Amino acid sequence: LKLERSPLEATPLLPDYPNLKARLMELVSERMRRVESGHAGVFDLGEEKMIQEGQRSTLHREDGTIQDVEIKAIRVSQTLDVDFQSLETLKVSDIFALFDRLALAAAQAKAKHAFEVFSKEIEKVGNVESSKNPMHEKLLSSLQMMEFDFVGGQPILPSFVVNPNTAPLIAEALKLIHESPELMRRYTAIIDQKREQFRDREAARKLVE
Amino acid sequence: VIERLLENWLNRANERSFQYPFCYLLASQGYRVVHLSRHCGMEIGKDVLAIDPQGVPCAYQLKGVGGGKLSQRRWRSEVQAQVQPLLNTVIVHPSIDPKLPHRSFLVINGELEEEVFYEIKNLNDCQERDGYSNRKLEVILKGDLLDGFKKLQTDFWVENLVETKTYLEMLLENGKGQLPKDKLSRLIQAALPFDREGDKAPSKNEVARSLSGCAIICASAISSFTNEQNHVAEFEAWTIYFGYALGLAGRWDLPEKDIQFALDIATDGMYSALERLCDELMQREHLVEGDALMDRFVYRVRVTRLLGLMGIYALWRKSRIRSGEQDGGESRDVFLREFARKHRRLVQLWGEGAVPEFLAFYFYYRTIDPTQDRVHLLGSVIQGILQLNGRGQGKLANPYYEAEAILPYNLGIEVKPLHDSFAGSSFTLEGVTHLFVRLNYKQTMKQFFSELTRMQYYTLEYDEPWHFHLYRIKAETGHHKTVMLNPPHSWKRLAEIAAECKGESLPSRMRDFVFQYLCVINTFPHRFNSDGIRWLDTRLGEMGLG
Repeated sequence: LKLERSPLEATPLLPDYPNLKARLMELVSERMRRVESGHAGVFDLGEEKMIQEGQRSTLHREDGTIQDVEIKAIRVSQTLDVDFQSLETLKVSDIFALFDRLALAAAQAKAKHAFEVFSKEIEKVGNVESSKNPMHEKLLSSLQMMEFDFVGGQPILPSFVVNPNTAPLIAEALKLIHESPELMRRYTAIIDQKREQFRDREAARKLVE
Repeated sequence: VIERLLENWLNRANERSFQYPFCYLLASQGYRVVHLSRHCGMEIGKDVLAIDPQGVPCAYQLKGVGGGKLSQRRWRSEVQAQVQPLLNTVIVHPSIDPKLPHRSFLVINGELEEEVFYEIKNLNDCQERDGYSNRKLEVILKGDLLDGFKKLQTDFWVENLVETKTYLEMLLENGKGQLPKDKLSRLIQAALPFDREGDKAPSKNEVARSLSGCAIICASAISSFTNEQNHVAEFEAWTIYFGYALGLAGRWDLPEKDIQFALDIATDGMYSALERLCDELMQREHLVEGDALMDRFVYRVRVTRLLGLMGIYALWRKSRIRSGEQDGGESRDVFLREFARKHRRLVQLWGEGAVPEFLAFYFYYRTIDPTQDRVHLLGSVIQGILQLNGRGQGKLANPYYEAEAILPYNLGIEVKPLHDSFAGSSFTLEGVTHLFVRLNYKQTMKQFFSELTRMQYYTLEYDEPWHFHLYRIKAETGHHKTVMLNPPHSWKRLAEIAAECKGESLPSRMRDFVFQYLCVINTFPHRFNSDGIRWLDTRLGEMGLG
């Protein structure tokens, strides 16, 4: 938050209430987090972990691959014109609206960054479905590429994050898969295969001689 | 202002709180300090023993007079009786030749009443008349101390005015609570020459002067804790100082002899604080502190801390007795054993910050208990971390959170949300697991293992080994590693990893100090890692303490 320099700053001896203002800022920050979380969509499922020390981070996965985790500061800015000569007329709702806009911008910037990271990593391992096949084929092909876990024998299926125009096409393709015996058979086969892979992974968690 | 601050501290100091600064002052003047008193019932009238640059032994008796004057009444009732052995008995210490005559000093943080001045003069005249002209009592007064202290830290205050506020905040602490480690670390780091123009290493004299000046800043900053006899805070403070002194040596690759005096005195500070804590525990009928009803919520946290510290002390003591550095004492051994046995069930895993405390206790407990208890103790730590931070959990804070910071969340009384998740991760689990594997309980490990494979193991790698000693490493440095176990998970491979004991992630000089390392990870739990704990376990075993 960068405010334009106030002409009043030249008179630093006016009484101030920094503790109260800091407390208010804390509350505003909390509100921003909530607003940002509301706009984060699928990314709100992620956990917030604080890295206390270290300027670079790597993830050493179970399969032996190592991924550099980029630590990136995301900056967003929004402007609110304030007339310092008549600050008392500034509406509280305008202040909150500014912070809400900032939170939205932060959520969007974070999502954009996350998608960029995903794209980069997915392309690196070749898990890209860019064929001109019908949507149901693309979905089955995508599922085939993915790894997912099971709870009580049921798969934890992935979420779709798509352009609003694409959403009806996905819904239609999913309906088609469930209604077509042939497509359903292929879908079930993929799930069965994934279940086996999941069981193998779980079995591999055992400590052997 | 700074002079006034220093004088104010010296006025409030008791003999214990100016003992360490005084020793550092001597060391900076080329003296070799060979003994410091614990200030307990076993005092022998010689608080400090040192050898001056010419090789002459010197014995010092310290007296706190609160900045006032040593009265004739106190001189006659208390001090005079201690001065006689100071002057006339042989110094019994392995570093001092008993045949050599020694100089005797009375050191006070105040002045002498005129009558006392004449009594001392009279005493010295009598000694001369009786043919003992080399056995005179010399006096070091507040003015001498102040001059010496000021000379050692002039640069600090000029260059670190910002830290004056931190220093004042520490000085104004009531001394009864937790040591503000962040503030003290900041002060110490500012007082030592880690950053220099042109990246030029400081000279030997500069190092000696800055380490001595820093010790005075450290001792005076924690004086409210010393005055309250907050032994744990004192232990932590000297541990932090010790770490930073080693860090400074690592930063500039200084010869060990240049910093040895600082390490020796700080080590004494750490050990003595533990010893006094033990004295206090031996005298106490219970471990409740302050408001008893509210104490219910922190009682087990305190007991866990005490068990850890007494574990370090008991092991360190055993080692010192074996090497002849100190005499044993059956009653103290019995107390330490009983204390551990009586309270072992009260340990509480309030956060990963408690894991080094558990392990310090474990290292000691295994030396006194041949039953399966020690296995259960270690197993319970693994189980605790897995249960609290396993899938969908995240209730066990990482070691960056101190008890007082995280307990409000654990107790559900903190209204501010905590924007940090601990689920599925641990800084300490790998190290504890390796210790458990070393016990060779394969079947029990098999029970844990599935959940262990789901965890993420965090470690921090340092760009420079000496960064290990800093409270927080510098921005723009360090590598945060998240590691998951990769299959196949064989016992044989796990046992091989667990057996590794080189401790290569530790600064090489840290590996010269087994017990001090245990102190460091009990003061900065975020410096714990599996590599270090495996090295420590092996070293303790080699020392016959496994």
